[in-house]
Amino acid sequence: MEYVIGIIVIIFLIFLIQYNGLVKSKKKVQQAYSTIDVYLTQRFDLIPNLVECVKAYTKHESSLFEKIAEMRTSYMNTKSLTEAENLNNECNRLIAYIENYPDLKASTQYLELQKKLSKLESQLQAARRIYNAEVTAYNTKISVVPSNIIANMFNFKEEKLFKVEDVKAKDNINIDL
Amino acid sequence: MKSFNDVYQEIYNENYEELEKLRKSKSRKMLIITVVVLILIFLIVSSYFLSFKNNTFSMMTMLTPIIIFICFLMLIIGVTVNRQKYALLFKEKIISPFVKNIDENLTFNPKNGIGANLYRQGDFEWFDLYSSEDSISGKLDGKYALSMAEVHTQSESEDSEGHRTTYTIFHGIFGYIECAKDITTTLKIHSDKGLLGKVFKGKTKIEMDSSEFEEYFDVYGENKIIAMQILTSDVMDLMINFIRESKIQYELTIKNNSIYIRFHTGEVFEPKMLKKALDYNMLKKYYDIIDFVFKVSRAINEAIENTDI
Repeated sequence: MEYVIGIIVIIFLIFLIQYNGLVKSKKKVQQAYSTIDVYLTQRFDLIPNLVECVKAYTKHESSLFEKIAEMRTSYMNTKSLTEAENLNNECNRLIAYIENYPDLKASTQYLELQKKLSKLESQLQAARRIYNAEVTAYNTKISVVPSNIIANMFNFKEEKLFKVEDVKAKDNINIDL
Repeated sequence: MKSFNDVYQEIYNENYEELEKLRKSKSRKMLIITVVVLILIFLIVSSYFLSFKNNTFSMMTMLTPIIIFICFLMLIIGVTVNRQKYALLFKEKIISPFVKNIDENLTFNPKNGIGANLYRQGDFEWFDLYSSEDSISGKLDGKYALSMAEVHTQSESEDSEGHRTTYTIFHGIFGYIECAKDITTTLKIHSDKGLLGKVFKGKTKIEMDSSEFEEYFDVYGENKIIAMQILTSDVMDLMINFIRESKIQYELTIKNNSIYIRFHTGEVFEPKMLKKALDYNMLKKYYDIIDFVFKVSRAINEAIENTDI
């Protein structure tokens, strides 16, 4: 009888340790995502300035700003990873597009913006790596035995990695204006 | 930086023959001293047993253990003195020009070491006894101060009867390199501690996004963003390749505006009496370590400079 109680206690402890491990791992993913969110928000706040720069040199319509503003508002409301990725990629395309205008690149306004963007880009890249490392660790935990049993019982789902489109200045960038 | 083969060839052409002649003569002397002393000991021990067997005890018989002890002492002193004389010449004729040929900015000084306070700043471990010698100093790319030396740290314990025991904590090469700027935090990259490291990882352990890097190293730091900005994929690849090829364990601490690095090599820059003066493998190991220190410091400084920390 004592052996049975002992085995039940051990199984319960394993169950508890695995569950807590999964919860902690998920919290780390959320924390890492909130760090990305901070840098993304700072980056997206620079978009209006960036678009003003483009308008002054390329004489494009304000429909560009409207589109990006819509995407930005949508992201601020939903904080969805997919929307963050799409908006981030749109920003990268815009910056790559600017590379085609040497006069714009040399302007004082753009150079100041570029400094801020460069710093944010480095921090965002670091935050993205941290997030992806935590997501990989979490996804592995919910897949391996025995934690996958507890993951299924308590509906722990796989998280998505944060992906960035590879956009280069030399590519023929088409911005939907 | 010159290639190893170029550096080796220059030393060989300049100093090898003279030093090899000296090494052979010193080894011969040591061998002669050893053989003579062993023969003496054999004769003394034989006469002792003979007198014991024949029950004839004399003053000589009673003095035998003392004479044997004196012979052993003579042997140790003879070997040590010869070795020390050769070691000084070896460092002057081989190691010093070797280091200079690697990079003109570097200077080797066998009598100087690195102070204990500087070693402590690397936050590697607590120690009771410290010694350092054979320092290499200079500047990396003419900009960043660099110094390396052989360091030996020991821990001391005393039992209830007052007997002291010392054991080695670290023995190898320790280096200090200036950083491009102050990163205002501490980042430690230590050897992977295996299962023990995974269970007792502490709150400051940073999970890296390279499983290969995680196999060899554990990273600790308060600021994860700065850690990721410094440990780029290029820096991580460089670190992995070195440990894989050289099989030398090492650790790195980046603290404020300095890089502290140490290699678990054991005794360094000492000649092997029974091997050739220009031991290719030994010099290649020293070259690879200095080369790696240069490369990793450059890569880290580049990452720090490119990042607006």
